[in-house]
Order: sequence, then structure tokens, then C-alpha cells
Amino acid sequence: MDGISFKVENGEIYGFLGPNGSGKSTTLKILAGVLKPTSGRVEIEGIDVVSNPVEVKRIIGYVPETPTLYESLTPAELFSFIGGIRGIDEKILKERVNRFVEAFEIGKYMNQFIGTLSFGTKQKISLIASFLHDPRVIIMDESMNGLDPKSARILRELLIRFRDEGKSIIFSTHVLPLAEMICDRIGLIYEGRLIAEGTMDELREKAQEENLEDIFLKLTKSKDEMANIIQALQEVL
Amino acid sequence: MMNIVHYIYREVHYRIVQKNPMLKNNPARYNHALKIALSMKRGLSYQFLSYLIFGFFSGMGVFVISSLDVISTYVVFLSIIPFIFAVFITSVQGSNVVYMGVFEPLKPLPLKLGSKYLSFYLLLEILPSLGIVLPTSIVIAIKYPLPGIISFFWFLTGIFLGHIIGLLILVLFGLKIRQRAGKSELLVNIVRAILFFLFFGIFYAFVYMQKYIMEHSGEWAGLIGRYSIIFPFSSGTIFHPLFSTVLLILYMALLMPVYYLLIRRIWDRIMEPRVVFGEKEIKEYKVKSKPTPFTLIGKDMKILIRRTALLAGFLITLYIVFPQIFMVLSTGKFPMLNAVIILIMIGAFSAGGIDAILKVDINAIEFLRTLPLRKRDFVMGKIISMSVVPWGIGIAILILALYYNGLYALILIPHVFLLPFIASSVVMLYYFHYKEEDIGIPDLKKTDLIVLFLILMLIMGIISIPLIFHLIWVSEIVAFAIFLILLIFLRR
Repeated sequence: MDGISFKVENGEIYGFLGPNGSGKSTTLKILAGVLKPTSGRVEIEGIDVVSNPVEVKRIIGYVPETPTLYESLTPAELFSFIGGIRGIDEKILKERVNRFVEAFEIGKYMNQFIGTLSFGTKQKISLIASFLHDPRVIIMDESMNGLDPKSARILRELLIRFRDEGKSIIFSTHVLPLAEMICDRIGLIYEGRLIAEGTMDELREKAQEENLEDIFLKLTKSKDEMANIIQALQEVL
Repeated sequence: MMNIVHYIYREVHYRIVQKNPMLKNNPARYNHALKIALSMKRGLSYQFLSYLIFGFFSGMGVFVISSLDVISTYVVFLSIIPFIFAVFITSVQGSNVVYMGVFEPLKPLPLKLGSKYLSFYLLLEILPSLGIVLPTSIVIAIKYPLPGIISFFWFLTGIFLGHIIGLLILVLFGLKIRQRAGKSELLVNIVRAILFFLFFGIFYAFVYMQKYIMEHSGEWAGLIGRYSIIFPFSSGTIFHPLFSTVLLILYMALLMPVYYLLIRRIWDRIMEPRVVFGEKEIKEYKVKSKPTPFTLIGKDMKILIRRTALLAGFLITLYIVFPQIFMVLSTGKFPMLNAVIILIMIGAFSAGGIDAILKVDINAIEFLRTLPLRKRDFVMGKIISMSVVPWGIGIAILILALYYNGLYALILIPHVFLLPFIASSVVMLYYFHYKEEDIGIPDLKKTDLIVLFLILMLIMGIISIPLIFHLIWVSEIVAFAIFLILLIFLRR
């Protein structure tokens, strides 16, 4: 990654877009304190992530691209574990778990080992795990992956509500219509560099394209390349 | 057919290696395990040779016995060992085949699949356990040819019977055992832990068995005669060849249909797996919020009990210390000084469980890093988790010491609790003494383990010096001082 610099305000949804391998996940992991940057500075609510990662982790909720959870625990045990580590009051924890479990319809899996559950269910558990402490900053890495349409919709509405409550949300996604729909601002990362940033109107003006897919393809220089790839595939199939 | 069986073997063993957290972070061990896992010939030969070592000792034992009664009793006891192996291996590997879905990639291919593949694969997995009994059969056959050959068929029958019981366990519990965690699941896990210990305990039993048979063969000869149609007593009939052969044929005639029925049942489940998930709506679950140390220890204990590979490493102190306890107790006396020496030995080997304790988190380390967990809390949690088994053994030693020496043995209490804590703290401080708050799983290199072992020996040596003068309480004061120093380091 090279010279990435951006700021996300309170009450804002910031979309982080880019092709596979462009550095989105690495950036989000650094923000979440999971990875350390070799240089540079990351601050969340004025707290330096590198020098004070534990304090930052108290206020953020991070949802990774692939849920890496304790497979030999049940969701109920995992939520209890998170409650204990984060020091969430038991009454509040129970109330929040019940609400989320109901919303994402995972009640019947609560006493099953996480390792035996489907990817989508694991993703829901990962989402709930990162929301339980009511974080002020939410960092999500392609978290819609594997979710059924109903859960994806619930998550979308939830994010909008979180934004309205004043929380900051940074999320990466490949679902461009979703980004277009809910993001206040979008950052475009390509080969480890932030090549464009702004509201949808600002990006439209910059790329001289109407929808986000075309803007994305144009700014990542993939538009012409695509026609050649499709033609090559047609020749062999 | 061999191609498919080979594929199944490779797939099951590859996935076992992949899922084994003990092999992560250690490329050398991982590559070695993978090398053996991916070659069926190498894997089976390796197992066969390991079993053959025990088999060789067993054969040597029989070689020097001349009494027919003693040999018969020996065969009866020996036939139990591969029988237990067969039960264990069948239920574990059979459940692996079902859970891992190794037949799934084959289903869309234009292949005629059948239960014969599963059957052949499972039997292949069990066959190496013949190494335990083969030398004994050969030795008997050299001295008494026909009984020797019959003994081999009884060992085979024992393995086959164990295989069938393993299949039965699989049919009855195999598909439910890992799905849910409730009170019944806890019970099953405890039973698994005990079974696992018994499985390894067989080797101790094996040594003891030879001695026992020599002393008690007369009593068993009568029992074998009385219950000669029931396995394992039936294998003691080898010196009545006609009766024994008829019994063998009867056993096979009974076992074959049962085997066929069970393997078909399992095969049906593989082809049309029952969807257990979501079968019934479970809405009752418990969510509790405990203080951080209890949360961490509770998580460690749950995962350790549920993952067999980790459980083996976690109980390592028990395996090391058990023979020493056994030897001391077999003298019928338990002087205080012996009790203290065993407690110091427990302390020194308390750190043996470190690998298993750290690997608990290896698959979820990224998740753990997203939580506001201080390194200090993580380290303290691990120290306590690592001390659980040594504390348990120490308490057992204390009870024995109380039984033999009366209330005076209460003086041992500080050693029971302090020594495992000291050893665990030293190990954790060694690996986590860096300044950053990052929580990671250190790579346990051989050189580190040797250095650690030397440090622990030095500390235990210092604690032991007063014992030369029979001053147990002074030794405890020294231990307490070291404990306080370590606490200061841990608080930093």
C-alpha cells in the first residue's frame, strides 16, 4: 500500500471499493488493529491504533471478509465469550443477543458448534459478534458475502440506522449497487493507492460515467481490457 | 477399486492434518505429518511398525512361557488390545468419513459407488493393529503350529468384532456426537476424554498385563473354560483346535450379516445425509457474561475437551507422571518425601501442555486480535489453563499423601498449587515478554523447549535444595518467593 490517506466523519458511511488484491482488506485490518502498518499513522476517534490498539478495539466493531471464529464453540458460547472479554453487562448482553439472533434467524443454531454451520450462518454470527458492544465505529470487509437476501436487507437497514445514530461505518464491497445506494462517500483503491474519493456526484463528474460500475471500470482501467477477455473466452468455448 | 480407496484414504488423512491445530505454526512437523498422511503405503506401514514394536515385546514374553494355561490366558488378554484399537479406529475414522463428506466429490462422477469402498477403507485403517498380535501368533506357531494359526484367526476375529462395535457406535451416536453442545454433549465429551486416556493407558496396561498373567494364570484358566464361547475368553481355546475352529466359524457366521447390515446403514447415510441442522427449532440458549480470566479459561477448557488432538497434548503431564505415581504406589508406602518429589516432578512437567494450550486459539487468532484483550489477561488465562491438569494430579497426590501420612500431609498444599503455576508462568513469560500488546501464537522451536526445560529444572532444583535436609516447609518458602517474583513480572 502506498500513501493511502482518508478520513471518515461521524454519521457517515464510507464505501471502500477496489479490484481483488488492491489492498482493501489490508487497509481495513490495519484500521481494526489486526495488522500493523510498516509506516504511517492511523487514528480512530483521536486514539492511535498502533500505540493503543486495545483502547481502539473497545470502540470499534470489525467484521472480517471470512469469519474466523472458534469452531468448537457454539454461537451462544461465543457471544458469552465476547461479553466477558468486552465486559458487557449480562442483562444487556442477553437482550442484545436475543434481538440479533431473532433478526438474523439463527436461534436454531445457537447450541450447535460453529464449525458445523454454513458460511452464511457463520457470517451472521461474525456480524452479531462485532455489534454486541454497540461500537461507535464499524469496519466491515465484504460482510454481505453469503448472506441471504432477507439478512442482507436487514444489515443494510441496520447500517443506515447506525449512521443516523452518528456512528462511522467503513465497509468494502464488490456489490456496487449497494455501495451506490447507501454510501455517503466512496474511496476507490487500485494497486495499493487511493485513486479516487468523493460522493457519487463527484465520482460521476471525475469519470464522466453515470453508474458506479462504469465509474469503477473506467477508473481502474478495466473497461477496454474486458472486451478482449470476453472475446478470448468466446473463442475457446 | 484401489484408486478410490486410495483417494478416500488421502482425503481423510489430508483433512485430519489440515484440521490439527497442533501442526500449525510448525512447518517441519506439518510437512512430516503431510508426507505420511498422503501416502497410504507409508502411513499404514508406519502404523504397522509402531504396533509391531509392542507386538515384538509381547512375542518375546510368550517365547519364554512353557505352560499352556499361561499361554491361553495370555492370548485372551492380548486379543482385547487390538479389539479396543478396532473399536476406537472404526468409530473415529468412520465418523471422519461421514463428517468430512469425502464421498461428495465422487458423487457427480460417472462411477458406481458402493459400500464396498467404505468397508475396504475402514478395514485397511484397522489392519496395522495386527502388528501388536502377529509376533505372538508366530511365536506360538513355532512352538505349537496349529494353536498358533488359530490364535491368529482369533486375533483377526477380535479386530473384526471391534470393527463391528465401532460401526455400531457410529450408527448410534456418530452423526449426533459433534452437532450440539448441551448437557448430554458435555457427558459425551467427558466419556471421550476418559476413553482417550484409556486408549493411551493400554500401553501401561500392556506392561502390567504380562506380570499379572504370570501370577494369576491359574485363576483365569478356570474362567476361560467356563466362558469359552464368549469373546475374549473364546480365544483362550486355541489348545482345543477342533472346538476353537468351530467357534471361529460360528463367530464369523454371526458377525458377517451384522457387519453387512451396519456398513449398508452407514453407506445409506453417506449417500443421503440426514440434514440435522435446523431439524428442530431450538430457542433456549444461555448467554453469560463472566469476568475476563474466567471467560478465557472457560473457553480454553471447552475447546480442549472437544478437540481430541488438543486433549492429547493437554493431558501430557498426566502421561509423564502417571508411571512414576504407579511405581511409587505399587510399593504400598507413600512417605512424605516421595510425595514432595512427585509434586516437584509434576511442577517441572507442568509446562508440557503449553503447545496444546496455545493452539486452542490458532484458528481464531485473527478474531481474538479484534477484541480489546490485554496481553497480560491472555497470558494469565493461559497460565491458569495450563495449570489445571497438574493441579488435578497434585490434588490426587495430596489425597494419597493424607491417606498414608495423616493430616501432616496438608503441609504439601502450597507445593500442589504453587509449582504448576510457577512452571506455567515461566513458560508464558519466556514467550510473551515482548513489549507490544499483540497476541500471537509463538512457534515452539526445539531449542526454545530445551532452554525452557533447563530453566525449569534450575528453578525446581532451587526449590528442591531444602529437601536434601528434609525441610519441606523451607522448600515451600523458596517456592513462594519465586511465585511472588513471577507475579511482579506478570503484572508488568
